[in-house]
Amino acid sequence: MSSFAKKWMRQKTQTGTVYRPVVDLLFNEETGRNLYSFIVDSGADISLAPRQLAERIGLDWDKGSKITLSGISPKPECTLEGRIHKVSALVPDLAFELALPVCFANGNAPLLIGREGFFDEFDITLDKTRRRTVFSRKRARRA
Amino acid sequence: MREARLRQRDGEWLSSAKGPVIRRYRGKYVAIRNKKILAASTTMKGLYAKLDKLKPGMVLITRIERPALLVYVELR
Repeated sequence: MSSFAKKWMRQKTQTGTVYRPVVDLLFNEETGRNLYSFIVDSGADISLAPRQLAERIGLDWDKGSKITLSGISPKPECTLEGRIHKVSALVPDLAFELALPVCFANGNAPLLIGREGFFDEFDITLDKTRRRTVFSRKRARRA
Repeated sequence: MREARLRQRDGEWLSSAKGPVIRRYRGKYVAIRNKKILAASTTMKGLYAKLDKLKPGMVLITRIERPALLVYVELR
């Protein structure tokens, strides 16, 4: 199997119900393994997670590449510090280990999967009508 | 891997859970196992502290977003 489909996550917003594409990644932590559900964000250059996840998987947060995160507000007090690390995670649907850069924010960041590293490995079809995402491995398909 | 698949079903359960079940967890990181929210916290640090006490085995961790639309984050 070189592809899998994943149903979108239903969430309520001020404008009604929205469905968001998600993908599950398994991380080896110092105390065992846990599965994390990330929002697939095709508009994000890089993946995002809170700092504590980096520490939980044994990374020294300070040793990553330093970066500042900001949103719509230009105010300096609305920025967060982050560190980019390359991490390994398992895609359980394909039992496939993936290496991708993740920006770990020093704050309560959402769990987002961006393009770098992830979209290099998969062709991704966001099927809004069927509220599902199809992930097809690129290398496996070519083989 | 079998355990991971079971946890994925917990994600499907969360997606289909009714509003009142979810409402109290908005804006929080949650840990789910066997269709139950075992722990929740506004910070990942707090969630891990609770999990370290519970030692529940593999859980599904995600964040239940506040009822707002998501927008972009800029990196500099």
